[in-house]
Amino acid sequence: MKQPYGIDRDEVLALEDLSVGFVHGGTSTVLAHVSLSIRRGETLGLVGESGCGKSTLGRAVMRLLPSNAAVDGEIRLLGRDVRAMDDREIRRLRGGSVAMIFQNPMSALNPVLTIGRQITEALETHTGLRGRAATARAVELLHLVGIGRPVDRVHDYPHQLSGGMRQRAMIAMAVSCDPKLLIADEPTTALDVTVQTQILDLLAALQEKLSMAILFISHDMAAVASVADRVAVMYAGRIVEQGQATALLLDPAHPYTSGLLNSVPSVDGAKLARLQAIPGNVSAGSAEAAGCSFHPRCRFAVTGCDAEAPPLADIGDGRASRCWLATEDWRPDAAARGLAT
Amino acid sequence: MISVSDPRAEAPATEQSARLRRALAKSPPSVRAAFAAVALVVLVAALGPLLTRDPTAQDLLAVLRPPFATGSAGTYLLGTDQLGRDLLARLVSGMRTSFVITFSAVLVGGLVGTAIGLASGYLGGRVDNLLMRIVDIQLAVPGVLLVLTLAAVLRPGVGTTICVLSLIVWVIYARVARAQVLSLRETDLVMAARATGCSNARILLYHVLPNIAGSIWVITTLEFAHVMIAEAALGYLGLGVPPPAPTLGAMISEGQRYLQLGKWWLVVMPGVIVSLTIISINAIGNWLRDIHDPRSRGRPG
Repeated sequence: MKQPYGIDRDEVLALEDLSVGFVHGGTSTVLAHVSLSIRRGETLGLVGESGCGKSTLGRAVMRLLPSNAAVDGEIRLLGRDVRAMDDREIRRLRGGSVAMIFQNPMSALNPVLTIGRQITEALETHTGLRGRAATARAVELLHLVGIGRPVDRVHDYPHQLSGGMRQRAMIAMAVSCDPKLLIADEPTTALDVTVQTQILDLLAALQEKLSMAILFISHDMAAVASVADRVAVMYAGRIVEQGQATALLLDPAHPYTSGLLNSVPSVDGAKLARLQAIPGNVSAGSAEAAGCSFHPRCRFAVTGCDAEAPPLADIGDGRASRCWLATEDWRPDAAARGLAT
Repeated sequence: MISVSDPRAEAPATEQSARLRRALAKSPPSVRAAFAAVALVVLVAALGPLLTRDPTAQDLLAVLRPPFATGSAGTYLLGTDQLGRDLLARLVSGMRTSFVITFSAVLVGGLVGTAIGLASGYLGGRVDNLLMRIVDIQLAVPGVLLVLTLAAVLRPGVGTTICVLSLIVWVIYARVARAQVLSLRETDLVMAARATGCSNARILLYHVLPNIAGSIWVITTLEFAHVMIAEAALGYLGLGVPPPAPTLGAMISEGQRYLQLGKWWLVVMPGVIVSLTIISINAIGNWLRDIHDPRSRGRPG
């Protein structure tokens, strides 16, 4: 499918027909023909359960995949082909125009270097700043991400900070060189709920201030709902549904999206019903299996779903769903009520 | 954006040494004693030869004299050997030779071994295979045998001894460094460093090396002791630095023949120096490893 945006000046990242497989003996496909784009200042939420290829996608953008990864398709970042870059260019890109934050800041931060040193390292790599100027900038950045007493904190080691503080420090490192795209790979998963909210608020504030695009990778629907402008739902290496965040989350068009949303516990008094789980799990290699990759777990599966894979079909309002049943009106939740009665 | 001037940012290097000083102030007495012992031994080895008599001068009228004996050249504080040479002068001079050789061998072997281990573990693939097979081959040959063979074949001297000894050291460093890099390479730490745009060299130097420094310190102290003994053994077997220049091992070897005659000082004096140095270095090594790991430094409030 072609990008609806085409060549666009505001386009920060565009993936076209991106496929990734890992070679070990045979090849296992992790991403299959993924196309998506992110525009300046926009947050794209990428959701899906563990193992659906979300993190692989984020890493593919920065060419951080292991050497046994076979990549196919186009990755265009700020109009330039990432796959064609040489080592020097790709290093300038990493941490420069694209930065990444990780799920667990404790393991991603270097335990034997101070926070300040790690931020100044990024600055030294990408900007001319060195020595006192770099440290002063590190202090500014720590202040920017809401760390109190940054003048003291800059000399702290990661283990001396709390989990939330560490993630803030990680974010400070990531935004230190003014990235155009921030890839946040499950940035709140390892944090407790109150801290999660603070980090999400921080990301939103920073995005406004620095006008960067964010690729927000998460399996936490609530987190995605609070930050994303658009959402792409992935299943077994494919995008199964995408569209504007509010519309997609309130009114899912794909059975998998609906299943994900129904499996989120709610504090809403009206919904004390038993949580609905999606039966089964993402089976290995289902990206290559015949038919729709979700059909073995889909309660709406009909004859034909196992024969041919459905295309990502346009269902209006800039939304698309990879389901044979998908039309402008068909919704799994309504259909489920129909099945029940 | 705000701008805050930070007085402490001006001298990060002094901060590091200040940390070491603070750690030293909190160290247990045994560690301080070990530091004092090593400092004393090094000082004596460095300056001693300037103050003592000629270690090769013979006083044949005063052979095998016990400590505090007097001869034609005055009092011999530690006695004399079978040729009437001043044992104190020989000990001090032997310490210097032994330390220079040990230090150089560990330095050369450690640098080469660590570099090879880092490269091997980080690059992986064929490079790793080749380098590790070389290590395997060398480890399969008993170290002492290798050293003895080489020492016997090559022309004896300080340089040869250093080369031969560094040969038994580098494999240990290479093995340990590689193993650590292999596990570190797969961590988020290295992934995050790559995501920041670090080059491979930078990742190895700033992110991998500091994280394996603890193990490197520990094997350095172990290897220091190991090499010191190996050097003494070479001297003992007459394959080290050739006589008449004294080394600790050669002194023990020569003195051993006179043990049965009750001339204990010829063996005990150099033996004590070797033991004292090795024990002290091991104690320092343990302590260094503990303070090097920031996670074990405690959490300030």
